[in-house]
Amino acid sequence: MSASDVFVSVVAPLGNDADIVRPFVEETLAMLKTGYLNYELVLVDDGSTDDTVHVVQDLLAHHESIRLIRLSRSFGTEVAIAAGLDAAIGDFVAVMMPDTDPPALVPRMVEQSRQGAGVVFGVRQGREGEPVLLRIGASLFYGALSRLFGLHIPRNSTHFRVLSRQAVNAVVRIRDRNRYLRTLSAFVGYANQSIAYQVRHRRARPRFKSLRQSAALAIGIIVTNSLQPLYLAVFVGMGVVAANVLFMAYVVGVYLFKRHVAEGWTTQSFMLGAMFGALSLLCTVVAAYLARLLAENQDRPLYFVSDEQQSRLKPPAERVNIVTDPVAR
Amino acid sequence: MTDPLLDTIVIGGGFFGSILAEHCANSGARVVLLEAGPELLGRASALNQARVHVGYHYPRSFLTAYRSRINAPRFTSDFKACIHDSFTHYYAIGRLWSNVTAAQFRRFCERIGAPLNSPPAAVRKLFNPDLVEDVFQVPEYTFDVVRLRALMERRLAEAGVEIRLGSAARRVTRAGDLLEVTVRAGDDEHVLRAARVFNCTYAGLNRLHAASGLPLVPLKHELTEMALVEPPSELADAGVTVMCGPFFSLLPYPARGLCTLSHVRYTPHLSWTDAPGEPLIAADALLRATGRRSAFPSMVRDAARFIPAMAGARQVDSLWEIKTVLPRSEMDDSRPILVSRDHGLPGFHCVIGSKMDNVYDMIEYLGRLPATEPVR
Repeated sequence: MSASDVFVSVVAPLGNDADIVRPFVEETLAMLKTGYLNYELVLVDDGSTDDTVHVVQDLLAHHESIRLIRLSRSFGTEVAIAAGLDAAIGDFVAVMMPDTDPPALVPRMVEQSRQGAGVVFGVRQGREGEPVLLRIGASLFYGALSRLFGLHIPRNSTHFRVLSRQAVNAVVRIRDRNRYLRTLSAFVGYANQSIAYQVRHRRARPRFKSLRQSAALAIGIIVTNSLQPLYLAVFVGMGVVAANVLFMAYVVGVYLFKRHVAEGWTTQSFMLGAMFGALSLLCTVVAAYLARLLAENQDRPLYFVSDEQQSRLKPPAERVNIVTDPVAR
Repeated sequence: MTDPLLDTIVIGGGFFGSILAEHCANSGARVVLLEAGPELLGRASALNQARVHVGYHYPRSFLTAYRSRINAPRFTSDFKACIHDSFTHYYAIGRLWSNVTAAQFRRFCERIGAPLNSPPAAVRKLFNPDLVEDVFQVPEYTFDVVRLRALMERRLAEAGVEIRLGSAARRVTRAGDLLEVTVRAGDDEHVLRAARVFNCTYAGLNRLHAASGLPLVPLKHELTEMALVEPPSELADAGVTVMCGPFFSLLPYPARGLCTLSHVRYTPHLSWTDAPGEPLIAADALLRATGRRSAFPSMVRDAARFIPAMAGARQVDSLWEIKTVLPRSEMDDSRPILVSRDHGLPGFHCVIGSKMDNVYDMIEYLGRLPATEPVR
């Protein structure tokens, strides 16, 4: 299969992106048209409430090879990407965030994947321009991730990536509700390679995640992908139990060998505090995992599609010749 | 020059036009059948999936499915020699994106009385269980259009229909009690007169109307492509239809000894509607335009996701044609035929066929109309 023979799909989730979707689509299609004979752009609308769908519908009437999948409500970016991967037919599938990811890099990533990498993922160079708190949080997160939780998410890796058909087929088989493309594509294996790039925002005022969203994302990634917190809680719990046993031995000893056992107020309070602290820690961790288990066991569809549309071109203008002689063939 | 008077002129020698001409001739009329092309049944009747619908394909339009259940046995027995039934047909139900679930499809088939069988395990294994919920084996076949053409030529001759090939109707006008059809054959132009005229030109329907100053029928057209493929060895002697959404069909096309691969998403290349006040689009020029890229690469890649063996399908050729539907049938997947009586002119009727077996619905409908007095 020569470079131009491969079929390349680009999947992009859209969420209230009316302001940037047109330049994104035009730039991406221009890249695809130059590089490939066979391609498609799969846009997944994640329940946008602005004008996104209308803008895309207008694009469908003027450009070839675009597909629009509309989810019935907002299911979140990760699920929208999953819907796009379910639909994409390409030999190589690029996942792009319309605001930040540069289409010009896709051919290089596809080429890298053609050479054997199952996943070629983007790594942003520097986090300039992001709020300071977000940058500190990100740094802490990546540090803790590998040291505490045994998770290896490449530092500053983004959603931007190209997956081979084999990797796509593996990723779409995982129907986790709490899904993170970055960990999933690492989980499925198939030789991961990175490519560094400069994030470039199409919006003058980029939308950054709030601190709360980032924290939720961090907890979600850890709880979904790592059992370490649970083990940690188990260890702590065992330590506390052991301390408790020692303490009881001490109490018994005091009772047997001491004459005036009147004090003990300090010890009592200390013990109570330690016990309740340990208990609540245990409960928190167990609750987090229980919630996760419950969500996964509901076995509902990951998303619902309200509508699928595709490029529907009218005959090109130069061929819309007015029929003056209605029968001449 | 004017030919002698006729009772009926049928414009368009496709399957519907031919059956209609035969029907009129058998009821005693003097009939001329005009066909612009070099042979009968040469266009949409031939350049299509050769599926003989027996109902399975329309779980979302009960009426269309039900009529197919009634009409198909008749079609199959009337055209027995043209039916290609030496293959096994599998219907697969998509797991994602499908408008019906396997359970709904089973219930639907029960309701219309269409049998469903379980395919052998070796066949099931060909389908990707992540994308296909269930597979059924069904008795639904295809027809050989070359044989059908020969049969129709014989039947028309027996009925006494005069066939004029290479003759295109340019205009229809009223002349007293009669209708005048201006016909161009080569460089020659002449006029035929008859008491009634049927326009059965399918995609070309509105061109005749526009030239005759008659109201347009709201029609939606698509420039469609069906790939002609050699199926992979695993699917030799098999047909596959994946239901019910943006999926594909692989069906034997006996006239060429190949299979058609069609895809709901990739078969239509362009689409447009005939709107009053806007110039009509020269569909034939679109068909003749060269350099159009085949959508086979997209079709086969999607098909291979559902049936990995489909990656071995080899494209030999493509069938390109204009497909015409009534805009209303887009929503519910129904495929009604259109009969518009006295369309703009008394005695001028137009008919748009859809599925081949629906031809009996047309005959039945026309049989209920008051017969036109034969002109002598």
